Amino acid sequence: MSEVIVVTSGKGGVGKTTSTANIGTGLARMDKKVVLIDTDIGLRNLDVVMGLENRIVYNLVDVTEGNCRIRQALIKDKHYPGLYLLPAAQTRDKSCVSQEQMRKLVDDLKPIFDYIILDSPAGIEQGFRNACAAADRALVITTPEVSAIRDADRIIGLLESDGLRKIDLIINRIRPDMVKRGDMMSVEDVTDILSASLIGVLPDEEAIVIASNHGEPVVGTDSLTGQAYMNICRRLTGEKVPLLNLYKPLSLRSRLSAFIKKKA
Amino acid sequence: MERYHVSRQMTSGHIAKLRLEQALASDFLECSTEKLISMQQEILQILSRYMNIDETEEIQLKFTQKIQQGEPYVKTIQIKGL
Repeated sequence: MSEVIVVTSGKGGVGKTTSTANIGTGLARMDKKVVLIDTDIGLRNLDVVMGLENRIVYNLVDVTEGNCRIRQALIKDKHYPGLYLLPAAQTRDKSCVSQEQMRKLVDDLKPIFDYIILDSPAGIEQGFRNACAAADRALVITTPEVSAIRDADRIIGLLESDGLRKIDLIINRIRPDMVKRGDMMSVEDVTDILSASLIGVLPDEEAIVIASNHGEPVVGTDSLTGQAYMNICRRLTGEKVPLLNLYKPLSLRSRLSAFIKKKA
Repeated sequence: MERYHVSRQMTSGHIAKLRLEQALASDFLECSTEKLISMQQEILQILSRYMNIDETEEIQLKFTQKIQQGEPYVKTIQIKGL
């Protein structure tokens, strides 16, 4: 029984690729067999986020056009034996793969893997359509910004009208200090507006930037983001995990200095 | 003490939410925000021509769009009220 999950958002730059890499790694840490498919043909990035850019020989288009066997195009992860990447082609464009070919590709991978995770490109055009064609479940990523939420709403509408039943929401880049001040929409504000069920909240943290600079996942570290991604993976497998408290307990020193500043 | 008097209404997060709701409503109805506001005012005028509208009354207009599978889309426009 394998599950096909598409990671999408509408708006670009909200964290689709990073989330795909980290959720895939998290599931592999739970001893699942996972394949990540980069469907962003022409603008591939999942390989660099995973740190596997030097190992690419064949890509998704080579497989769909029959230039190689599917096993030849799969790249094994550096750390987890059950984790594989199928990279996108960089020198082609979205129109060289059809929805039918994507369905066939995913069907061929189903017997081998527990989870097939598709990283969708931004936008609502053919690239997005291809990525969603074979999915039974969607993870919609948004940030607490008007533009990202508006696009997420549109994406959820499109997925629903395609007949996708399981649509979950991930809210990325929450800054608890700004929410507290009222200068950022809260998790509740976002879930009030969007009709998908919430599966995870990710803080805006330096750890994720540093990790992707190195081409390493943040999952498995004890950073808040790493824990939050791990919790999302556990929820994906059906476990009930409460939401992480993103309010970091302040050290005595910073509390003292804040107190002194307030007095002054 | 003055800084504590800044109400919830004024925070940029709240403004963002209001703008977002307006944008989504006008996307859904394919109607600009300005048109929506003038529609709200006109409906209110017409209603008050026929009935007494109390200060405390709340009036909503509900648009339902049925889709083939699953739940219908519903958008509620607040004409007047709290």
